[in-house]
Amino acid sequence: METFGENRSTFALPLYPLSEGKALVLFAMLYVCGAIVWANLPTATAGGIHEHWGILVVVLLPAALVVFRMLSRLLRAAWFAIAIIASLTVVAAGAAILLPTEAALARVYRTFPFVALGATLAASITACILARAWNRSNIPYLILHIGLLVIVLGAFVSLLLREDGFVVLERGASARSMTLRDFNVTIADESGGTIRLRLPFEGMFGRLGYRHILQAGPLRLTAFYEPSRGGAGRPRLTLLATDGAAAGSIEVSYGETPGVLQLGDSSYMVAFAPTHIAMPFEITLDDFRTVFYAGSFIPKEYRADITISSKEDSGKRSETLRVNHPVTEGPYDIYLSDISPDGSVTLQVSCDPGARMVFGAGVLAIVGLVMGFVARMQRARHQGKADEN
Amino acid sequence: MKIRLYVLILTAAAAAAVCGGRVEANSSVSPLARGLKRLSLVAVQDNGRIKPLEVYAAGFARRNRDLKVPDSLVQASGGRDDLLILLLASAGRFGGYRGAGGLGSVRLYPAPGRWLCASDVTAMALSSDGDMRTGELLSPELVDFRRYVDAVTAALAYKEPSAGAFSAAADVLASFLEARYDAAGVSTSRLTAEAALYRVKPFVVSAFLYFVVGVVSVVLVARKAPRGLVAGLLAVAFGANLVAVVVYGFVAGRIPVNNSYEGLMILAAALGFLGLVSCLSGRLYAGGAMGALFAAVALAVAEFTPVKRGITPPVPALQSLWLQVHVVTCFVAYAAFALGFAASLVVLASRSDEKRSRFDYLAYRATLFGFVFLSAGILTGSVWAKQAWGRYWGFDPKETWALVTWLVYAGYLHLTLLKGRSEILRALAAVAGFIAVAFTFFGVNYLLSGLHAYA
Repeated sequence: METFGENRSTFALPLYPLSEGKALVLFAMLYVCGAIVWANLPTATAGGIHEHWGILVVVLLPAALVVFRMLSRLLRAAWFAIAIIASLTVVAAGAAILLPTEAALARVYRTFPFVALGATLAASITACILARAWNRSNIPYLILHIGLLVIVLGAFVSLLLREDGFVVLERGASARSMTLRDFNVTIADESGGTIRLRLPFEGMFGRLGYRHILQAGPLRLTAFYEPSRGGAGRPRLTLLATDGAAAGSIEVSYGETPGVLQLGDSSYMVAFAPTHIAMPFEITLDDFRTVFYAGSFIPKEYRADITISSKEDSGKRSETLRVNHPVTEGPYDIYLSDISPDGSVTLQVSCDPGARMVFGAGVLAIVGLVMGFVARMQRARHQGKADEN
Repeated sequence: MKIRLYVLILTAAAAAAVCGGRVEANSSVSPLARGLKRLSLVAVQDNGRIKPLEVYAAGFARRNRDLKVPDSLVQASGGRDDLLILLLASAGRFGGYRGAGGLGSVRLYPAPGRWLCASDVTAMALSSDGDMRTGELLSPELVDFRRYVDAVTAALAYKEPSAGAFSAAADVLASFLEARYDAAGVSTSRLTAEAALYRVKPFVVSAFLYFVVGVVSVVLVARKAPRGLVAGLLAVAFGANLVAVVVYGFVAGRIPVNNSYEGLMILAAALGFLGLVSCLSGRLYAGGAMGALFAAVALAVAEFTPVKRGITPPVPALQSLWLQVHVVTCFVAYAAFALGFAASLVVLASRSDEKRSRFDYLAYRATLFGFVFLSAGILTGSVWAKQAWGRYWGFDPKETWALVTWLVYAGYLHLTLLKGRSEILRALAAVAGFIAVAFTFFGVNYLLSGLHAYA
C-alpha cells in the first residue's frame, strides 16, 4: 500500500552515511552519554537547564547537527519510526495504568529516557522531512510532519520555559508575587549567607527520581525525596550533608518550618518550600461569587472580579474571571482556579510560550492530514475508474 | 415483579428553566408538574421501595436508591401517587426526609433562585410583609403557600392519611405551581418534547432499528443485493437516531456531549452516518452493515448499562464551545475506528486474498478518516484544557490514553511503509487501536482517576 506522496528526494543528505547497524551503536552511545550528562547537570545552581542556553547554542547545536547527519539514514528508516511510535505507546500506556498522574510526571514523563525519546522522535521527523522531495505530491506529507515536529518542539519549549504558579487571595486582598509548584531547598549559614537549591525535574535517570546529589557552597548534599502519598501528607526531603570534616542529616517537610542542620561546630537553617516569584503586575481580588442553577446546588458560574495594576505603565484595569475565560496580561494568563468555602479564591497564573507553537502547529498538522486524506481518496477514485475500464 | 410506573417531579426552580418536565401518572396526565423543570421516572415497587428507572434530575438516583415509602402512605395516596412521590423525592433530594412527619424541613416551595422549606416561610411570615431576607415573596403568594403547606400536611398526616386529602393537596399544588411557572415563561414545547422522550424512548427504538437493519444488511451484503437497499434501510435507522439526538438536545438546551450516555448517542449517530457514507460512496457497502450493528451496540450500552447520564445543566468547566467540538470530533473518530476494527476482523478471518485486500482497503480508509478526526479532537481538547486548567497537556489519564490511541493508529499508518504484505500486521494494529479506543472511553473512567470525571 502506498502512502501520501512517494517520491524520495534524490540529493544525498548524509555527510557520513553509516550503515544502520553502526548508526544504531552510535545512537546507543549517544543516549548513554546524554543520560550521564543529564544526571550530572549543575542542579545546585538556582536555575534549570534553560539557564544554560549558551552551552546549548555554542557547543551542543553544531555537534548535534553533525551527529544528525551521520544518523539520518537510521532516523528516517520506516522501521525506526515504527519503533519510536511503539516505544512511546508502551511507555505512555504503562505509565498511565501503573502510576497516578503526579507520580507518572515525576517518574516517567519528565525523566531523561522519555525526554530523549521525544528528542529522537523530533530528529526522526526532521530526517524524514529533509529526505522528502519538496514537490507537489508531497505537500500534505510535509505540512503534516512539519506540524508534528513543531508540536514536539513546542512541548520542549513548554517543558523548559513554562511558569506556572498560583495566588490565594481573600476579598479585598492584593498580591504581587505568586507561588510556583516547585521544590526548593534554602540553606542559610550562621553568617546569614544563603544558598538556594532548586530541585530540577523530579526524577533522574536510573534513580526513578528520588535521589539528588547537590553541591551547595562548601556542602555536599545527598537528597532523598519522598513524595506525598496519595495526596495525604506533605512531600519530605531527607538531606545527608558533609562539609568534608563533619557529616550530618536532617529531615524537612515541604512548606513547613525550617530545621537546623548541625555539622561539627557550624549550624545551618534548612527550609524546603516552593518558590515565590514576583509578578510584573499586581492582582487585587475585588469580589467573587458562585452562582448556582436555580433551585439546585449545581454551580452555574464562578466569578471573580479582579483589578490588575501593571507596574510598568501604572495602568489599572478591572476584569472578571470566570472558568474557561482566563484573562491575559502580557505573557501571563490568569485563571480562576478555585473558590473555597472558607472565602478564599485561588488564581492560577501561568506563562507558556510553547502553547501557541503547539496550537499553531496542531492546526498545520490537521490541514496536512485533511489534504493527505483527500488526495488519497481522489487517487483511489481514479484507480477505481481505471479498474472498471 | 409487577412495577407500577409513575413520573416524578424533582428539584430545581422555575426561573431559569433549562429543561421542561411533565408529570404523568400511569395514563392520566397530572397538571402537577406542568412547568416544572425536570422530572424522573421512578417505579414504586410492591414492597414500597422507590426504584429509579430513569433519572433526569441531578443526583436523585444516586442518593436515594433505597428510599422507603411507608406502606400506609402508598395506600393512602389513592389516585394521586404522583404527589406523594413528588414530596418524598423532594424530601430525599434535600436531605430533609425523615418519614412523613418531617415536612417542616422539606424544601417544597419553589422561590426564584432556591427552594424554601416550611420553616423558612414561617420565618418570613413572622417578619414584616414576608420579604425579610430576599424580597422575593409577596404576601398573596405567601397566603397561597400556606394553603398549600396546610393541604400537604393534611394529606400526609401519618396516622390517618386519606386519598381525599391527597387529591385536595394535589389540586392546590397544581394551581399554585401553574400560576408560578406560567409567569416564569417556561417553554411548553420543551415540556412536551421531554415528556415525549420518556414515553417513546427513541434511543431504544433506534437501537432496535439499527440491530434489525444490521442483521438484514449482513444477509443482503452476503447475497450481493443492490447497495441502495442497504443504504435505504440504514437511512431509516439513522434518521430515527438523528431525530432522537435533536429532540434530546432541544430538551437539554445544549449539544448533548456532557456525559457517557450523551456521548454514546453521538457515537451511534456518527456510526450510522459513516455507515451510510460507506454505503453510498464506495464499492464496499459492508461498512453499512458494520456501522448499523455497532450503533445498535452503542445505544444498547447507553440504555441498558449504568453509564453516567441525566439532563443536567453543565458545570462551569463544561461550558465551552471547544468542549463540544472536542467531544463530537472524538466520537466521529471512534465511529470510524469501529468500522476499521470490524473490517480488520474480516481481514484476519478471511482466507481469500481478494476479499482480504478489499477489506484491508475499507479498514485503511476508515482508519485514516478516524485519524484525521482524532487528531482534531485531541487538538480541540487541548485548547479547551488550556482555557479551563491553564495547560494544554497534563498527562491526565484520559489525555494519555487518547495519545496512546493516536500513537497506535499512527503506527498503523506507518505500517503501510513496510515492504511486502503487511495486511495482517495492520489488521492487528487496528484491533489494538480499537481496544485502546474502548479503554480510553470506558476503562479510564472506571479504572483510573483523573480530571475527565464527567464522561
